[in-house]
Amino acid sequence: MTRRKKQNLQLIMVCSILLAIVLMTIFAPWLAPYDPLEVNMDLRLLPPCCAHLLGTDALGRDVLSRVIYGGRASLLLAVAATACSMGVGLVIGIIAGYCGGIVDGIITAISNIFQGLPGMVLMIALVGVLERNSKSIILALVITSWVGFSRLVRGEVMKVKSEMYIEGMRCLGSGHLRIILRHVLPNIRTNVILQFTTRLGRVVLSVAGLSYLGLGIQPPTPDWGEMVSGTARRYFRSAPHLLWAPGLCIILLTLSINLLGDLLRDRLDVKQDSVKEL
Amino acid sequence: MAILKYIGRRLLVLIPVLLGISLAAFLLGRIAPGDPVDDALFRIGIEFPTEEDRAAMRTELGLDKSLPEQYLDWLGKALHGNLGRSYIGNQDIAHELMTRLPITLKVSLVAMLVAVIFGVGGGVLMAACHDTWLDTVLKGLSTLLLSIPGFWLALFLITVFAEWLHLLPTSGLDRGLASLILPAVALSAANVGSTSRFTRGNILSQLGEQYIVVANAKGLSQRAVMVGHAFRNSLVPIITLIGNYFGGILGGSTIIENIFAIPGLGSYVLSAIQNRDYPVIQGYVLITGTTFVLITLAIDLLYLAVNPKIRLQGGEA
Amino acid sequence: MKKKQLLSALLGAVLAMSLAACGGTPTSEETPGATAPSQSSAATVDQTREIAFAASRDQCPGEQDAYYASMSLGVWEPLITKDEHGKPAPALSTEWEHNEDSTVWTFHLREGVTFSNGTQFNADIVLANFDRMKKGPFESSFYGMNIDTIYPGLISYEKTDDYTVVLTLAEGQLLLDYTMVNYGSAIFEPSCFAEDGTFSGFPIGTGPYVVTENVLGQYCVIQRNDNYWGTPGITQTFRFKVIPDAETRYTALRAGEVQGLCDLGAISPSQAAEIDGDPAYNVSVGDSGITHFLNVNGGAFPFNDVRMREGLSLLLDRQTIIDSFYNGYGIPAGGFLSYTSAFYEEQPVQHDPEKGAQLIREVVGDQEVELRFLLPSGDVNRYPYQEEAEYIQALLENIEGTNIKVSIQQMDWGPCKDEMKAGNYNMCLKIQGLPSANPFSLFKGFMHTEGSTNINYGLGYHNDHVDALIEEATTCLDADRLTEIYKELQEISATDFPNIPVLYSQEVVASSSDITGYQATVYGLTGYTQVCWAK
Repeated sequence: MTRRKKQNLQLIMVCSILLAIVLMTIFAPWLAPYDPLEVNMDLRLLPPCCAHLLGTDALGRDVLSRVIYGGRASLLLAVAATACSMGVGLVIGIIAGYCGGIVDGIITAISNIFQGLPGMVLMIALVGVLERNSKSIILALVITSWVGFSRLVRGEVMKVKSEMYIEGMRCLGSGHLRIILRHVLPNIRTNVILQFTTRLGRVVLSVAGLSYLGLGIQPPTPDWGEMVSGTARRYFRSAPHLLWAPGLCIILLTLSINLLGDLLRDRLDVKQDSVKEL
Repeated sequence: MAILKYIGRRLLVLIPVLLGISLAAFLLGRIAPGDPVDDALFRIGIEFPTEEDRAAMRTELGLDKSLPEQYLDWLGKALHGNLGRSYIGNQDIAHELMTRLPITLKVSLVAMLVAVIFGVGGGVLMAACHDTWLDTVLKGLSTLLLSIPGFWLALFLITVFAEWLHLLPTSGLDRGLASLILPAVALSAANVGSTSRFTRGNILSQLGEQYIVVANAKGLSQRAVMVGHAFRNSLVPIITLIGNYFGGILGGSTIIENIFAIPGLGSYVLSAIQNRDYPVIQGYVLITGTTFVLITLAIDLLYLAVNPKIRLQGGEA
Repeated sequence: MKKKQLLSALLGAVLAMSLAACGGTPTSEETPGATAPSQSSAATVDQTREIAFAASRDQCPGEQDAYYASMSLGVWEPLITKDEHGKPAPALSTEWEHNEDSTVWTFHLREGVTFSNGTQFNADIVLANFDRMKKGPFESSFYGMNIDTIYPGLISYEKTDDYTVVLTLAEGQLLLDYTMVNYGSAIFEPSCFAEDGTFSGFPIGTGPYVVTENVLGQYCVIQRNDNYWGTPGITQTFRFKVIPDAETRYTALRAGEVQGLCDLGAISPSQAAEIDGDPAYNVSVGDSGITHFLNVNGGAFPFNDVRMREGLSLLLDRQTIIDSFYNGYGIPAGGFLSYTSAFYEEQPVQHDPEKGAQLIREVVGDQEVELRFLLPSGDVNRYPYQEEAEYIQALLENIEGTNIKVSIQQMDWGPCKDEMKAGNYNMCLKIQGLPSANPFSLFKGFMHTEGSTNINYGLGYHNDHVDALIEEATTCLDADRLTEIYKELQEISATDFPNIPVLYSQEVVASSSDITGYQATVYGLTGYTQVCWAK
């Protein structure tokens, strides 16, 4: 098997796993055998059995149904937060790189400040202070992670800008927006795709980390991060079935996102992404 | 001369950044809604306070002044090494942070060591065995390390090494280096994953370059080429990468410190956040922010030492 | 007055006798180095080995703390302690009496007591401790030390002889001895105080143990005081480690790193369930002054209607909550005051889901109702609040014929309290301890229209009759009448629901079978003196 073929096969595998996860969350209402919120105190902490393939939790809710639904919140939140923070980083990076001069100076100073702030603590403090919902989590993630990407974009934009032909286009009377859209964006496209996968995986884990402190997605919404590191962790010896399934789902999700990033990197033949970003 | 000038300029740029960090630190302590007056009163035995009690305590905590006034007050004292006293426990914050900083640094350093040994070592190994089964296995393993929730890993490590094997303590610091191993491994796992991948990729891309071909032609063994040229050339980005991690580890050890009962900066600020102990949060952000900025500077200078070719004109590296 | 005096004297005698019986050696003044194992088998066991305990918070918060160490360590002792009925019992003060209007209190001190450094305990020591208390208030992670709260309107404190101290108050305090219990009357050797009233170095007390090492936030070590006046401890050395994470703490016990888990939330109910019955561990359940309340916003629809509050209370299957989430450790709560209080009157606990649903239906009808359910995150870490809240959520959302939606939100206690005060909530689970053996401040705080908790928790509770009763209690100097008022307030709390009591907590602790004698709650001054190696 040639290297290329092997990679293709891997890519197909990883993509189908991701697709399966996405489809599972989309079609959760049809796939789940029970209502994930239905409490039944007579059926607490059942081990896996025929009626409940993955057992039941501390409130007698069906774990399988909760696992099937649980990807929704995690995935949506991760995608939204990653997209938002990259969007903010992109805009700021383009402005800094394209305008240069004093604007760039100010933005660079601000980025330096944000980079100096301890991310996880900032995130915990922000989510702790704001109302506990997905919006706050997204906001905290954006505030703590826009910097890295904006620096990357700024560098790329400056590189493109310094190239001769752009100057030529300016002379020919092309507008700023046009130059950005036509020449700058396509040049950073690969980076955007790669960054998206790297960050997506990390965000899923960060939100699970927040759940450890009770700051993640709020109950009763089923969520993998919450199911793994929320209050259910108290049952990890007496009822380990509560943790295994959502834990494996999270690992599978982040693993396939990371692998997808690797494969795309090889495929798009990017040497290495910037040191600053990793 | 050029180097001195460069360093001078870098230091000058630091001033607004540090000021910005101090402002952010100050505001972070103040954005919380409400005030900590009730908690402070509760701790001196007034569980059911009157409005007068609260007003008096507000004045005592300096919360009755305007925000800019509070900021200037705070900054002025901070510059003299006085970060005030915590609302809870009435501790000297600067002193408390300074006794805790070495603990966190110790854990972080061991974590860095783990990241360097296993990350860089693993990366070199993977590159050396490029396209063999070992490469595939290690690559899978490093990706897996990147994909496990930190809390899970910590729980797993504690259960296996403390409860089952009785090799290492579950928590605390009273067993010296042995106490640091589990938290350091838990803290650096994701970094080991990305460092090894990064090192591997970097060496492989270096291997593709011309002079390596020349070195090969001179008849050196493949392995020597790897160590001699490719690795040395990958050193600069690897140092930068690891330096960046250090900042991340320093600021990200909150949950790990809590799980392993390590009385470092992270667990301190976590309880401060939960109790809305503003001055502690402010002091913490200021200290870690400053440490991070200084470490970045140190790394840039190290960069310079490793590779003097780097142009000195660049505003930032 | 006579009756009271007699009672305390009697109790003192009983306590002394029981101490003597437990110890096996007479409680003479000088029992240097006498190890007094309670079981004959323990005598052959090497008790010089260190026993380690783990807790979620520091047992020795150090020099800045009003008491330096938790009372349970037995480093210091109070003038007055508490018996198993929650009533004042003699400690360093053997008996006490007060005048007709309760403004002058006389305390007779125990003779022949020495501090761990050899200083004699006498009236001058007590006065010096009052001098120090006046420099406060002092913070503490246990109970804050505030002389104005413990001794309201204290005019003077003086000695009439070497073993008698007289306190004079501006206004009568019928239950002064109740507020003085334990932390309210801690006694230290004055030379361990710094100029500002905090500690300079280790505390020096009269207790059976002495602090010998303390690393803040990590651990502290206590050693047996061989000159102790009472029954000395058996074990030579204890170490108390701080392990905040419940899972790690529990694993430390299983790994044999610590022999026991102590203090608040030592072990979670689900963990206790795992080792209950395992011969390698002992789980001990004891009384706790903590009550779990479901606080409701009575200032806003729908909980401003008493039928809604009663309906929810009837809906709750308290026994199921206790059995399912607390592993059976708890007592269904019908009334406001904890069962450990001396003034506790049992109130009926009713569970009638049909009637409850009917009452709620009457209030909300079929209109859409959104209820905001807050959970303070600190308590969520300690108690199964998450599960409990989701259970209550399911109860409310499944009432037939209604359209109720409950959204649960976890918050840090600070912001949570702000939301409650502003009235931006409907329900909130929260614990309440007994700040003092005198429940007056609790009644006033929660049930009086201008009570601070009533306002700060946004309970919006108002009842003219309750206000009148509390105002009467403020100046009441008749013990029987006061008991009657407290009783009536409890009855009102069980029918008018200023908030909804869910359960009375029980303290659960665990220890390895390698040690013996460790109990969840101890009365009097026993502390860790009975804890020792079993093998």
